[in-house]
Amino acid sequence: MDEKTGQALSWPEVWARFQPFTPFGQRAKRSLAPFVPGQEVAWQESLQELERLINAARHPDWREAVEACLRHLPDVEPILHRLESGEVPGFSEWFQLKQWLWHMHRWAQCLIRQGLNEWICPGDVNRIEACLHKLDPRPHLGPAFRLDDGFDPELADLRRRREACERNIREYREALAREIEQLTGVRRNREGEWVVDRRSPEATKLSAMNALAPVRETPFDVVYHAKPTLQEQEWMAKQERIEERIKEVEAAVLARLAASFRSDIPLMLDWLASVTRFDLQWARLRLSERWNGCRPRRSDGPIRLKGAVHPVVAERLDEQGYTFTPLDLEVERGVTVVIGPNMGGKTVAMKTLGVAVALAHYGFFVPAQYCELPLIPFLAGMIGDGQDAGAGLSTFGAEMARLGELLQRHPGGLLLLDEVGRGTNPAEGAALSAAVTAHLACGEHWAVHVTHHHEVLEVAGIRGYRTAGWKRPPDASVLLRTENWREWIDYRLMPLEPGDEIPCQATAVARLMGMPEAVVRDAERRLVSQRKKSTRVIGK
Amino acid sequence: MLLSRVQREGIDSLAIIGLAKNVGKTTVLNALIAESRSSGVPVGLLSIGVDGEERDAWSGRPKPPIRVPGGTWVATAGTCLDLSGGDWEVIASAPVHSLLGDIYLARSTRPTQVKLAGVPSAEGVRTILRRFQDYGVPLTLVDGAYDRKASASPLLTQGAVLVVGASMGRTLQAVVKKVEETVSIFTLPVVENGLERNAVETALRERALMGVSNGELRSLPFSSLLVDRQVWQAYLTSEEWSALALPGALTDRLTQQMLEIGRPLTLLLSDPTRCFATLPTIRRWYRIGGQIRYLHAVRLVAVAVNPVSPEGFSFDPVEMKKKVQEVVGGIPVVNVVRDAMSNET
Repeated sequence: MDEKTGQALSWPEVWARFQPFTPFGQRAKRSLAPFVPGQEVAWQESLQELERLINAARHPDWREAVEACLRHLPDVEPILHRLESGEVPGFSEWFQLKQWLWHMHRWAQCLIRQGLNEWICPGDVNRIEACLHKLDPRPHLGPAFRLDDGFDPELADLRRRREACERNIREYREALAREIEQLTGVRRNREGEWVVDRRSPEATKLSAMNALAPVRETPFDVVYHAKPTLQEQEWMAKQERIEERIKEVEAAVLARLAASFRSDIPLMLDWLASVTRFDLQWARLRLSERWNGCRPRRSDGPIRLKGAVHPVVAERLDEQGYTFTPLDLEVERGVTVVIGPNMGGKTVAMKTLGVAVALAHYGFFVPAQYCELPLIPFLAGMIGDGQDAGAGLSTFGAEMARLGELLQRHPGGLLLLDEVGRGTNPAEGAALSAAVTAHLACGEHWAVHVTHHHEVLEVAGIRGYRTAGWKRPPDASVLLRTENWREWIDYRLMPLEPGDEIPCQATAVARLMGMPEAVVRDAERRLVSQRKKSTRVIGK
Repeated sequence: MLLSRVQREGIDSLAIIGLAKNVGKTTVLNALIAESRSSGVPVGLLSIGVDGEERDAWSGRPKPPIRVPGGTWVATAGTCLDLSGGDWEVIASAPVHSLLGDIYLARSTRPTQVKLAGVPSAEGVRTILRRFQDYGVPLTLVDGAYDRKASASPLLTQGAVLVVGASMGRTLQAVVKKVEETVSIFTLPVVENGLERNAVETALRERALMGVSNGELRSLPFSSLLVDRQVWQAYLTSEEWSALALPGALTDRLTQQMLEIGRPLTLLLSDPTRCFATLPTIRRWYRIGGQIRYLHAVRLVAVAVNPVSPEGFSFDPVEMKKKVQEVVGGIPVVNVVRDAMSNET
């Protein structure tokens, strides 16, 4: 599906509703590819897998536990690649890795509990736990991460020695400070400093003390601190040496951790791939529930949809208080023509088909009651105004260029054509429209052609539908009064039957939409005149 | 002691706000942390804005580090914790991002120093405060960025310490005047009338202007007073309004435009952090009979004074404290550098 087709089908809005929980799931979504012909088995297996998940998710507690795990999984992919390349992750990255393993462990347990062993096998639960133990030498595992003493006996010893040094310095300073306070009557602040008014007698006392040195002055105050004694300096130097050694040992601990994880990297990348795939399926599951979707069945024949809904259009209508009319449709290779009055839902029907087919190809359950289809090589639409201003082409020119390309594509795909030939004069437009339909009728595409040209109905070998249309001839005055003109239209698709004709209700619709009455009446007069002329010609 | 006063008042989240750059906010924060160490009460720390960097964002001067005892909780970026990883236990990640990266909740395992990465949004601050509460942290100190009073919003924190310093002005008189203005604005009365309360609650909920006229609550046909001034001025003179609830902030310009109408009414605001009008303008508003009321009050726990400016000048600390005390009424004034001398051992 190209960008133009996607835009016409409101595919970006549909796709935006597909939201994996994890950052790696979001990344995988960006490069997700549709299933293509030749992958029918994998496609059905993926759908079956999704169906199993949907059934399992009916247990609310289980579902909540799974979602909680997914929500908490951090993005460790860059960390795993750094580990793989021999780098040592930073301290907070080890925490992320532990968080990931912690929640992966819970996720894996959830799946094993439900017998969903296709995602992760029971043995892997133990392997994840073993990885967690590498990051937590304490007897009871927890989600937090610290460079625990248990990582290295030297670390524990060094930290004890550092603490002893700190205690010595603290107690020594405390004793010295008390002595100074007793001698001067001045007490320390929270920083262990003595702040005095420089004009006060205390300032004289403090300045006379050899144990003190001024650290800063203002015009009003002098701030003193205790000079470190030789004993204190020794302890501080010792403390500094210990600090340095602690840093070395901590770095060594992290380096050893990195080395110990290196052999686990392939396994962890497998788990990551598995949980990524699961996250995508879980996001599909949530959409399926939102849309009350059905599993697409494989068909080697036509595309069959029953009760299909365009999810975005349906949501918009719902916001406005309207209901989407579900679509029943069958499209075989060749061409399917759709006719009906303006605003009767032809284009929406075509978009609904397009979205359903696209969703099925991306492994989703389809917003429909029933869906069967073959895998189709491509999907392309020519819907709406295809004018390519950049290429200097008119609407018609752009349409013909695009259509020319599409008709030549092989193998055939699903073509959604909205009123071929509408951009040129009616006679030539009708001729082109019929010719294209005739070409498609015996081709290998699954083509759907929405048209207003009655010449198209004369093409041999077409199948088709008409939208049911107005429930009664539109009476603009009634409709405008109710302001609910949608209620007067039946949007269902009815199979085309012999004798069905292109509806002529354009003037009624124009009146309904607010066209000046004089203009509409003039148009109606011209129509009558045209018909008389054609009758005269036929009568000659 | 400042911390024990905060605890006595049952406050579990306290904003430290400065009225200018280099007023000594970090010194006050460190003093509170030091008190938490001596009282054995662990605190949580988070910063709103850009504080926690090595240098002040405005002046470029080196900033004092935030020193924490063991058992202190912090919310900061992973890159800030990586600097001394062995001193921390990382407990959880928070769904909050800062300029320095994702925010983590961590607890210090020993006395150490930390940079606090600024949490840029009020929602982020709320999330972290909730998480700290969940972990049983009894008090969280929120370090506010320069001139950002938002952290003191009663919708975020339960109380605030206002830090004022010599760097706010060249003369003590100028500094004291600024303190008086701020405290006067912060301590304007709260809404008591039920109808007015309803008006401001509705205005905030619906982000719309609400008025009270003849004892009835009425919504105004424009969502803010940023629309054509003549239109809303004409509307406000069209009937006897007694109160007007603003969903946003009150500025000097807006107050002056209200003054042009010449009809006194009560302006209702969410809280003092939404009042950006200056005291002289507010005084003029009161002089014509107008009033300003808040739905939520800010509990100013203390005003902390710092008589020393990093520019190289200082005020007499005794005089500064006395003068500030004179203008702030019953709010305690502290000098965390000097006061401790007589209170701590």
